[in-house]
Amino acid sequence: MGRFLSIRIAQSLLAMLAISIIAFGLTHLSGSPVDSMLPEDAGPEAAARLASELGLDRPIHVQYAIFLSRALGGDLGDSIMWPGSSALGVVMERMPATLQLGGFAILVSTLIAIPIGVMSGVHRDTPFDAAGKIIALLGQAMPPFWLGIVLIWIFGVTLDWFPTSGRGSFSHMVLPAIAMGWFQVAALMRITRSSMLDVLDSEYIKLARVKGVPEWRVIWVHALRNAAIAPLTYFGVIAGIILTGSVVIETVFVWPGAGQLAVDAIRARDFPVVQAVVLTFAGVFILSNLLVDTLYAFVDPRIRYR
Amino acid sequence: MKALRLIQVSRIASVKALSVINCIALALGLVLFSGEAPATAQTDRLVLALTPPGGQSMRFWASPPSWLHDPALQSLIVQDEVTAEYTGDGLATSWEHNDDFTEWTFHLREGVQFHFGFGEFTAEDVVHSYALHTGEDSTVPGVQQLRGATAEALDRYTVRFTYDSPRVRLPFLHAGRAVMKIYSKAQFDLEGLEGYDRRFAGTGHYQFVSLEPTLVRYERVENHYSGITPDFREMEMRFVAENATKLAMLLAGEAHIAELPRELLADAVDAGMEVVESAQPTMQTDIAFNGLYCESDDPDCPRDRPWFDVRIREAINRSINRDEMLEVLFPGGGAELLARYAMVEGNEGYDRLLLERFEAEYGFDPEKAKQLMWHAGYPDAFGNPVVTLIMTAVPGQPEIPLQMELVHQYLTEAGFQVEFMELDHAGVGALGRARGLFALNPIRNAPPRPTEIAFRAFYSNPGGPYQGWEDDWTSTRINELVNSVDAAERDQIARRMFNYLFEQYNDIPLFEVFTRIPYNPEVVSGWQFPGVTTAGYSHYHLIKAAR
Repeated sequence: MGRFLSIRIAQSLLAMLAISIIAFGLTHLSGSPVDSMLPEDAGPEAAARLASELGLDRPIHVQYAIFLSRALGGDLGDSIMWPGSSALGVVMERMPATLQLGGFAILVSTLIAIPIGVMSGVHRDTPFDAAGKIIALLGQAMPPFWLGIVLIWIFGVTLDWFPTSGRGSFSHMVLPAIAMGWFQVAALMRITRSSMLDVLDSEYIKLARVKGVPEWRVIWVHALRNAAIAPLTYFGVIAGIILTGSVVIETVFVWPGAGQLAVDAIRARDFPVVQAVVLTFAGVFILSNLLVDTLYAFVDPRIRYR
Repeated sequence: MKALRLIQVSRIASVKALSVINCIALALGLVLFSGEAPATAQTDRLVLALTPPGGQSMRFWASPPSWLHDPALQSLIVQDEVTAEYTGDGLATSWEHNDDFTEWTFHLREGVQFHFGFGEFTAEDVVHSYALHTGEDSTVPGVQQLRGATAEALDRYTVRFTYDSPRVRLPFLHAGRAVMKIYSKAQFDLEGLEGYDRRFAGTGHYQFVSLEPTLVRYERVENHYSGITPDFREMEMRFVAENATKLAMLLAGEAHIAELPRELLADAVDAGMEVVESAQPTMQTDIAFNGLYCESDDPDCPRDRPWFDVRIREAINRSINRDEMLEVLFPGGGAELLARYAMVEGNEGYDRLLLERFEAEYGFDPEKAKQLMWHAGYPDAFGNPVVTLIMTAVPGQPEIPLQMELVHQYLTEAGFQVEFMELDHAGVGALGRARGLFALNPIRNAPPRPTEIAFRAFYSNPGGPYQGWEDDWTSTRINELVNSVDAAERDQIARRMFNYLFEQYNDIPLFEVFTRIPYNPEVVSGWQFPGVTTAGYSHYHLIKAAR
């Protein structure tokens, strides 16, 4: 188990390093922050002076080496858009809101997908199964930003059931969580369904039925317990998708999280904040996958010996 | 018109899709959580849904152009809400200059109190604010023209700026489109810049309460020196990037005023909202023939580009149907044709004759355009015959993409080879600074500036990012204008320049645009603002509550 964990952690660190190179490279490819920071009437001399002050006139690999050495100490630089604040500090201020919404979105996805997946597996090729597929398909067919706007119009404006935007009460979370989570329902439901089909055919389920165990217990306790392993592995992926999805959903719903921060920072070419958001999201994604891998290894001992 | 049809088709499809989904939603019929109660007519809290500011710094001087500070921080000079004239109703009660406009003396109002008990506003605050705004970290547009003075407090209520060259239009920098806002020196001495970062004390009708990631809150100041107390006790300005969300907030009663693009205004009006319009045009729109860096011996002069030839510049102008563009871009009104970029009625050099000549010399005439192209030998006579159009997003000007698509269509129909170059706004600036912006670039004069300041920004700032036109004649005239202190002479120089640029077809003048903002008439009864800021709106204390 120790070796398994060591390999996984080393892989995670390698992935973070690769992501830091990509994040650093892409932000610099998109242009210089100097152009956003200078007044409109500033000439080339002022631009050159500011670039020099920021160290942007040095070779790119030197800039990356400096960035990496500081990042290892937790210093991702100071924000350009929020002078006087550190980039990581700005991101950390916004992360609780993103994690709150993301967590609720995962909960919504799970609460919709798992029961539908289980029942679709049990009632295979029935109208119920077809309805489940349609619900799942709708989730994947509708872009989350579009779904978000439609939800706002139906439930926020027309029916006046939920607030259209902002963060405050529990009701503020409902629409953005659905918009963010519905996309995941399809995949999660299909995995649950196929996993249930496999499990329902197994000998121990037949034995449970022969022994007269009530059907609801066979399905929701004996079958689901084993069928849940496959969806469990998917949660690491969901965490990543939910985080990246927050960039769009938070903008549509004016949710004050790190996703919206990323959009604002990109617009202002606030490199340090963009890099901090990307690295934080990547960190959460890698950490959740590591956690899932570890859990999976615990649940299925065959994994750790491969 | 093809673009318009596409929008209409797309809108019909959206409405149909919405209807179907609406029915499904209604059938669900059960709700677990109630939403936030819509604001009522009796609300004391005014909510505005506005496009996010460029920056969210409490330091006005270190932030991109932003309306964030406007309710609390004032500049020296107030502009009338209707005529936009400078008045002595603000922090400065009067001002004067010496004969050569190198010394400006401002007489300050006595008894003005800073928010949060930071004491009385004095000349020391002006000197302190000048130092802040002209420092190395200042990024305020126009700061180059503010810099270079010695600021001196002559007494407690008199301050003087001394420059080594004339600053004839200095009041503009201290008025609505301010380059400098007044911060409290007492607060700085006590708390430093960190104090400003927590809460800035100003002298406006509203005082700062809090800045959160997606909103800023203000509360009204009782007993303001102006004698005006805002109708609303609290004002909350929310940063909303998505226009559909802004409209939804307005219709759901969660916002009472929303800044919407023109294509959504009709939806707001159909839902019972009313629209307020700036008293003056807030923006002149234009497309610059960028990259004509053609002063003597300048190696960057693009002689192989078609628009180097004045006949091609005229042909491009004549290929464009401005009346049709006006209908498509501004279907609800609020915009007028513009004859000459940077020329404003009442400002130096204004020449009504150019308006009368416009239709004959710039009007839509595809046949004339084709003749001009043939005479200029287009495309064979040009090393690079492609006309490049910049496609960019300009804050406060959401119609730019459609505008450029229409221009693309007109030029293609006229027989030009046309291509788009997609760049963000900062990228346009970077290419301009590198003197490599060889393209037709959408620009704006927002708000319309005094003539000299506009000329310096657009035609006499080599290396400036939005500088598109450089030639010896223009440079000489601008130098004359900048150094002249005789009103009649200045007016004559400016008029000659406008005529010269007009005849050179040095750009593609498009429209004068008024800012239009919808509001909920159950909560707001009106809002008078002149249209003198970059955002277009201002004078928040004049937002009137519905009774």
